[in-house]
Order: sequence, then structure tokens, then C-alpha cells
Amino acid sequence: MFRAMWCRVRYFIKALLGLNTEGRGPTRDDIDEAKLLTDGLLLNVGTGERQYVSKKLDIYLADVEASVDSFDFQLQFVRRYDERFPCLVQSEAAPIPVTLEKLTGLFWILREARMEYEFGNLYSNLQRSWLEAIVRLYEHSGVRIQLFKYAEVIDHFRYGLERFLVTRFSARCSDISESPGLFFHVYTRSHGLRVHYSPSFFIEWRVLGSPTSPVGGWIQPGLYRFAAEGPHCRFTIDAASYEIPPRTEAHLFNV
Amino acid sequence: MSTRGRVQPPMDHVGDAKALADRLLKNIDGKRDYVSQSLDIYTADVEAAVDRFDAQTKFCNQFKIGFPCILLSEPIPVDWSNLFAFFGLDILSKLKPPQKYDWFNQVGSSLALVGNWGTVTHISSADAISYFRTGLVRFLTVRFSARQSNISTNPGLQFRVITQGIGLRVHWSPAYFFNPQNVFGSPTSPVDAWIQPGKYMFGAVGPNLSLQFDPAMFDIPPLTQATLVSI
Repeated sequence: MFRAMWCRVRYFIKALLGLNTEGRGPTRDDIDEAKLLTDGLLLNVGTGERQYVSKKLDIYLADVEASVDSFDFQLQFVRRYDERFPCLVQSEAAPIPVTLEKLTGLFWILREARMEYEFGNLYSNLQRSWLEAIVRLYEHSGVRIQLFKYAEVIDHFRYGLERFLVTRFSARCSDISESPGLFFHVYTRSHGLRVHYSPSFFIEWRVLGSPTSPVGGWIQPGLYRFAAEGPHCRFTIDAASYEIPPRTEAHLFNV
Repeated sequence: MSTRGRVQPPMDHVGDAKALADRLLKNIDGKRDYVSQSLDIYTADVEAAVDRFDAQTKFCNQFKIGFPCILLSEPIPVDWSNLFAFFGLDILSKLKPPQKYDWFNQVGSSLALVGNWGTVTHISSADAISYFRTGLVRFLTVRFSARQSNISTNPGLQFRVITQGIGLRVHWSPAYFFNPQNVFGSPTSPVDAWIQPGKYMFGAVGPNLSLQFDPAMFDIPPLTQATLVSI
């Protein structure tokens, strides 16, 4: 507990002094452990035969485990119906899978209700409508949605997850459960907005704070994307990916 | 400016909670004009939940269907936002009668899978708003009771969840709008993590356990831990 508190105090002092809060870059151990953990999390992903068992580590992992569970279920669904998975594509960046939970939530309910045949009949229409909706949502922010094949999307997910975990391992303190994460500020040009964030390996949005600007919130170490929305501002995504730590703040220039 | 020596009026947590709930729910199901303001409590999570509830009640009214609620001591509206993307896509017109609304009613059977509370009922939007308001005021009262100045730098309160099973991942839901998708921590047991003050429910999922929620509600603070007796 003392070490966790010291990590937090050290981070605050460095942030206050405007110093790089990283302390150290990722070590060989961080990279190796991130790869090993990624392999374990993604073993048999999408096959319906994952056997991952959660273990105590010196990083917070529940959020990542939930994202991988979700991705696993969505892959099984995609294999069954389409073989293609949408990804967010930007120049000079690896594609990032976008969560299909709006599609799979309905699928899950219909399956539980033994009405899966309804979903099969509807799927082609639904998928087209859903894709049109998310393309509209994201193109407004200047990013593109592209469909990738099953095997490719696992590679993209793996690549993003490994990089995310390297950042998280590089910021580790012992007994991470004592740590609420790192305090992070987000600035927007407009006021009164609510800021959302997503892990950079899988686009699924969560609330950080409101109202801007700035907003501060606690976030576990990793690589993240940010977006904002408000009464007179559509949901808009910032193009940048932020490494936390060493970053302590993000400036969203397009909102 | 120093406030030393000045008598501060007692804080009215219930009154403040009611005032904020009124502002959040003003014109709900109509044209809301809520504007976020800096307060001495964290409200972004609540604002986002009210936005979702507003969209869902509008949908129920438009298609004249009931709002799903879980039945505990009183109905708690269920957040079905994961289905909501479809409702703007005219999914209902693509479903053929008589199944048209059957699948929506099956939200009930699917929710029964995540708790031991039996059935899910569908009530009118007006009733759902009323129950939502009651639950929201209780939730905000707990949050206001834990308020501190400059809440933006406070990560919340440290809380422990204990389960009977081991190796599980714990999830939480606000008690006024049931949504089981929020991750708390893993692996059990116990799990320690940080949570903003409020009134919450907890559940868990694991390799050999589908997501299950305990029906108990926990006021945080004063509680510092929850024991999920059946999970």
C-alpha cells in the first residue's frame, strides 16, 4: 500500500512540476510480459473455446479482460454471419476494431429467446443500416470505417492490445488495486461538453467527465482515444492516441 | 478568501439531490434543455445515464411499448442502450408479426439470467420516469452526502467486494438504472477498487459462471465493502 501511495505522490509531483511522469520507458520485461499476457488473453479467441483464467497481477486488468470477452463473443458472432469486422482506419496508424455490441446485444437476446432465426433473416439489412450509422458518426470526425476479415481483425486487435499493455506494465506499481489510476486532464475549445474515452485497441466509449473545459478524471495507464459531445456539439472523436503516462493531459482541437 | 469564523449553513443533501434530479429530468421525454455545470460532486456518469434513459423513454412512447423494469422492492428501469442503436434504424418494421414485439419482451427473460429476482415487467413510460426519479434522488443523496470541495481531483471511494467464488470479475450497476456492464475489478475474492459515491448493486462473472447480480443495494458511503452471499 505504501508503494502504491508513493507511486501516486511521485506522479502528482512530477505532473505539478511539468516533468515527464513516465519515470522510465518500457523495459524489456514490460514488452515481454505484455506479449505473454496478450497471448494468454487471446488464446482461442473467437472459437468459443477460450479458457482464460483471471489471475492477480501488478497491473489493473479487469477492464481489459472485459474488452477481450466482448471481442471474443463478437468474433464468434461475425464468424457465424459475415466474416467481416469493422475497424477505424486512419493514415499512419494501425486499424482499430470497433465494438459490435449494439449488434451482438440484440443477437444475444434473440438467441436466449430461441428466436435466432429472426436475427439471421434480418442480419443483412441490419448490418448495412448499422454500418451506415457508424460510418456517418465517424466520418464527421474525419476517420474512416473499413471492414476486415476475421483473421486480420484479430491481428489488429492483438497489435493494439500489446502496445496498450506495454504502456500499462511500464507504469506498474506493486499492489495496483490500491491505485485509482492516474489523474488526467482533457481540454476542449468549447465549454459544457462531456468527454468520453476508449482504449486504443478496441473502440468502446466510456465517460470520463463533464463539463469542459478542462475536465479531470482518473484513468488506468494505457493508450487511449478521446471524444466529446454536448448540447450543440455532435459526438466528435479526436484523431490522436494518448499514452498515459507520460501524458497528463489531452487537447481536443476539433471540439 | 478565508471562511474561518464564518458559520456555514448545514448542507441539505436531500434538497440538493432533488434539485439536481429535477434539473436533469426537466422536460424528459420532451425537449430537454439541461446544461452541465461544475458541482462539488461528480455528475458525468449520471448525466450520461439520464441521456440514455431519455432516448429510451422517447422510443417506448413512440412505439407504445412498455419500459422494462426489474422488480425488487420497487421497479428499477433497465438500461437497454445496447439495443438502442437499432431503434433509430427502423428495426421494428423489419420484424414480422406476431413476433414484432416478442423479442423486446424477451429483454425480460435475458435479464432474469443475471439475477435471482424472477421476472422483468414492462411499465408505462410515465411510471418508469417516476421510479427513475425516485431512485435517482436516493442515489444523488448518497453522493451529495459524501461531497468534498474540488471533487474533480477525487477518484471516489475505495470499496471492497467479496464473493463466495474465486477467480471472478466483479461488475456494478447504479441502483436507479440497471446496467450490468460496468467493470469493477478482478479476480475475486476480494476485489478492491475505486467507485464514486452513490447507491449501487454488484454482480460477478467467471469462466464457469454467467453474469449474476446480487439483489442487495449498497450505500457508498457509509459502506466500505459488499459481500455477495450467493455468488
